[in-house]
Amino acid sequence: MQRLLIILIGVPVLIGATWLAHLGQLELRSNRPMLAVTFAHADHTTVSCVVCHHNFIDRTGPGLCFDCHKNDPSVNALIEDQFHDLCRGCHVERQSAGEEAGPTRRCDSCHTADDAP
Amino acid sequence: MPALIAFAGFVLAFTLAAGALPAAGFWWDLLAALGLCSATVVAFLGWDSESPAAQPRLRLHRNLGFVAAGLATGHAFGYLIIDSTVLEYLMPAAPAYMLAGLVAWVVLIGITFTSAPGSRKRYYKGFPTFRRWHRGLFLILVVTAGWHILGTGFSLEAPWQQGLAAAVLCAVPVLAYWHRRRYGTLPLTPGPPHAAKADAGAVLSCLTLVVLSAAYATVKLLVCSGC
Ligand code: HEC
Ligand code: HEC
Ligand code: HEC
Ligand code: HEC
Repeated sequence: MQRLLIILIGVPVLIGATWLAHLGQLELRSNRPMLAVTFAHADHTTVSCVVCHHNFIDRTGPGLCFDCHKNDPSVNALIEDQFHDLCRGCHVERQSAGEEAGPTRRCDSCHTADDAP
Repeated sequence: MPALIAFAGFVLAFTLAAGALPAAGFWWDLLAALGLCSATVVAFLGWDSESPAAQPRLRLHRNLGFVAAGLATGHAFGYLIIDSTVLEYLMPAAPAYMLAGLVAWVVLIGITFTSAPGSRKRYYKGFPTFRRWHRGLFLILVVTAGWHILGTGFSLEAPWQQGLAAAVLCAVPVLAYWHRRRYGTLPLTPGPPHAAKADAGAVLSCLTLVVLSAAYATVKLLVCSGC
């Protein structure tokens, strides 16, 4: 009986706490300052513009990537996942295919300050 | 001990088999392998620890616990040293699978250091209490470490690899339970006390696992032309 009570109360409390923690994380991710990242078009001349500049064709709007992806609350909590998928995903794919590729794992290779466009 | 080394060798070979690439440089891959080895030792320790048959090996069991903790510590702090951006993973906004890794490390440190002969009496009242907590902490450790390994997907990328690894992870507590049923539980009183002392088996295991990890990183380096 006591055990049942603990389970009946404990499980919802646990789920609720996890959900709150999740919301808190999204909030923190939306509001954190941008992590420095390096990117050079010169390394990516073999890639079609719209692979990255999806907004050129899908009518999400004009602007620079991070104007939207750091400020728009509908996507800014996802920036880490989405950009790692895009950037690291392509590098991993190319490296596995034995082609030239950018950084696949090492954070510092991408996350350093740069001022080249 | 040879079984442990073989098991770890198998785990590393398995992750190489379908995912030798991407590679990320010698040190990065070495540290990844240290983490995998630590998890391997943990799984190994879970398997036949609670039966009387395991009793003569209790000192090895304990010392291998410290080996696992040492490998995991090297894994975590090593990354912070070679790649400072990893610091992001210690922030509250970090991906859950990274925070799970952090929890796993804390639990691993806790489960080893509170179980050494002197401190066990200080931290737990009574042997049965100790065993209950030891079992509980072990389960949390397997779940959080498994979440971390599968969640990052750094070493096990293909879905079939992840599926197989998940099956092995689920098998660990089940096997431990089965082993206890089959061979009986330890008596409810602790065995004769023995001093905390390093033994050659644990030291050798640790060294071999580090060498295995270096070999793993070297293979990755050789396979990857542009690294
Ligand atoms: C691999 C992804 C990728 C590809 C391919 C790519 N870009 Fe970009 N582009 C970016 C990123 C990321 C930025 C933001 C750069 C920054 O903030 O440092 C950017 C920024 C820009 C900017 C704004 C630069 C500035 O600083 O004002 C222009 C213009 C641009 N890209 C044009 C192009 C064109 C034209 C192509 C195709 C020939 C192209 N890009 C291909 C990722 C890409
Ligand atoms: C005008 C605002 C805007 C700009 C500029 C913009 N994005 Fe986006 N991006 C969005 C929105 C909104 C979404 C979500 C759209 C959706 O889910 O279909 C998105 C989605 C994405 C995704 C996830 C796609 C997926 O299928 O998961 C990636 C990756 C991405 N953007 C990269 C970039 C890059 C790289 C740039 C610059 C080169 C860029 N975006 C510029 C608004 C923008
Ligand atoms: C569709 C594939 C693709 C995408 C998407 C892509 N890259 Fe790359 N990246 C490459 C390739 C290919 C190279 C290697 C170019 C070379 O060495 O000639 C590269 C190289 C790099 C390098 C290494 C440059 C150097 O000096 O070694 C960096 C940094 C980099 N990319 C960052 C990014 C970032 C940031 C993004 C996301 C905004 C991104 N890449 C998206 C294909 C891609
Ligand atoms: C291929 C390049 C690349 C690699 C490698 C890479 N990242 Fe990123 N990461 C990006 C890009 C591009 C963004 C989006 C731009 C930004 O926020 O700096 C990003 C975003 C992030 C963010 C979100 C920051 C924010 O502004 O909200 C975190 C945290 C992060 N990365 C951590 C890491 C860690 C830790 C590693 C190493 C395990 C890593 N990244 C490896 C390219 C990379």
